[in-house]
Amino acid sequence: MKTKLVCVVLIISLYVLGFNSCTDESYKVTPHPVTLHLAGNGLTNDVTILGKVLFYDTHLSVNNGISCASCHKQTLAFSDDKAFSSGFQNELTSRNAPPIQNLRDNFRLFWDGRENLLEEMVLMPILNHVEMGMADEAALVERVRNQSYYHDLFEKAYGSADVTPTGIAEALSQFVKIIQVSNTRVDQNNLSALEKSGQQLFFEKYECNTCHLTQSPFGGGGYGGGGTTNNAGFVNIGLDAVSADPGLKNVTHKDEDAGKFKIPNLRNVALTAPYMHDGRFSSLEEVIDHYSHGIANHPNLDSRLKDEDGKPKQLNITSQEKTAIVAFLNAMTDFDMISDKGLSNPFH
Amino acid sequence: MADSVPQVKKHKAFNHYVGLQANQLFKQFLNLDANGTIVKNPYLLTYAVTYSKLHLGIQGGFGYSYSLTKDKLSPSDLQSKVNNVFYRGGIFRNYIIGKKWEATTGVNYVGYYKLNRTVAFSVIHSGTGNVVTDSTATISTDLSKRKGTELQLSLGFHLSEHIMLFTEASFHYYMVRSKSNVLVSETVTNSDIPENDTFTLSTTNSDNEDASFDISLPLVLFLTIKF
Repeated sequence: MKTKLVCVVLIISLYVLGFNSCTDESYKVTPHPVTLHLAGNGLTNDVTILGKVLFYDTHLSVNNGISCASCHKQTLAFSDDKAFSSGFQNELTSRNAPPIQNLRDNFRLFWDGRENLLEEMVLMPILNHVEMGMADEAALVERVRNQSYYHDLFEKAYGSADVTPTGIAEALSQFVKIIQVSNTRVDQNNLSALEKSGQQLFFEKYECNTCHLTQSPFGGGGYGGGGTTNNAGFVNIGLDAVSADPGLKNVTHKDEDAGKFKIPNLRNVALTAPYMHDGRFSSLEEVIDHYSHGIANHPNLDSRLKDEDGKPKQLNITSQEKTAIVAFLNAMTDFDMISDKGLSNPFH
Repeated sequence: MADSVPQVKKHKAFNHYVGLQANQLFKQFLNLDANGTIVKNPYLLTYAVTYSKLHLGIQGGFGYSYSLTKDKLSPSDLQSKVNNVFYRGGIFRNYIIGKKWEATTGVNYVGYYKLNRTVAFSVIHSGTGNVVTDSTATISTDLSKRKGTELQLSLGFHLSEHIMLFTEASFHYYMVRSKSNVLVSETVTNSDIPENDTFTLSTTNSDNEDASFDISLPLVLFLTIKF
């Protein structure tokens, strides 16, 4: 009897699995024609306009399936709403897509700061075998050259229709540089009583600003001053007692840098969930809970998160304080940037 | 008075274990955090049979997943179908620990097969006056095969005589071979200058091999029936 029951369960399971295994070859994809709109978007620099088209063009991936904007969405401050983004083959990336905003040259880029130069960084996802899958720069150039609209765009930007990797990189980096966040209610000093209370807690009681430097547009990590020697903007905040992701150690190869990641800029933070390098926290409340009572005792835990005995701090943030801090963080949203037509998809 | 014969429990020669991965099931029942630790074990079903006398057995596991993704990521319309098949087979030794616990150590051959077929279309109008249309159709096929060896350690607990809960840790070494083919057809038409219309067809093939070593922690739970 039991044997028969087991067999029935197995058969049902296999049927359910097998039902989904039918991979019919009919692809019901109906292409929707789009028009490339370049006028009236407020951009005047032809190199930047070229960069915007490249940023949103899915032809820059090996299967024409995804673009830079697939994982860096304007309405989410050019970040993604998943812990790990899906590449061109639906394989997941290894870290959370950070927001693109207030970047500049000689700025430590990526969660582990492995690149300083924007023009080098912008090509890396395109050539990454998980993200956009292009084999090499020659394949990228060939693909861009085959799209007729780039003829005029390159001509206007560089005086020549010749497509080069340098031209692509410069244009993309110029577009990325104009993504600026500077018009939040915190910048305008236009805060409600609750938000001001949260600001006070952030700056004074819990001293979050010693790391996150919200008064600066570039606030947080990333200060590199050129080169990879300045790692002051990278900290271990005790997410785990043992780091699964080596973080900065991948770059410096030093044990003392294991589990250290770039301090993120908190502008538009309300839009960039999930949080941390692995997207483990789905809300700002969860982030605050981590600092309140969840800091793990990692050997490289930042000294600012240790108490006098060298143990992880227990900030014990109350629920009312948490509400106030979250309100303050929400006030760091720049609604103009996320709706700016100059930064929007030109293919529509 | 009838003779009373003492009941002697028969020891079966073979014990069969049929397991079903139960992490998602327990999450639903116990309302655990859906954002909890991701379990990497891909085997939905497992089967093992042991020869009781020697505590040796053979085992196998099977897992399958399918995903269909449709995206309109302007300028492309995209559809992607991904099939993943996982399988393993090997031998193991069984250890009975007290009345309630069983442990196994084993070696498996593991395999993985992934087929990703993606179709992307885009039709882009550009230019003012002379409207130029770029039409691109892409069919990409990616086949990834992985084979390797796995050292498996399992621990099981008897919830009842026939129902057990197993967890396992494993150490894998894989060789991966990935082949891909991307076929792209691109057509450019000019509304006013049809003699300038172009059509190009290109195909890109790649063939990569890689090796990796991986450790899976004991996070998976198998609800197992023993008979």
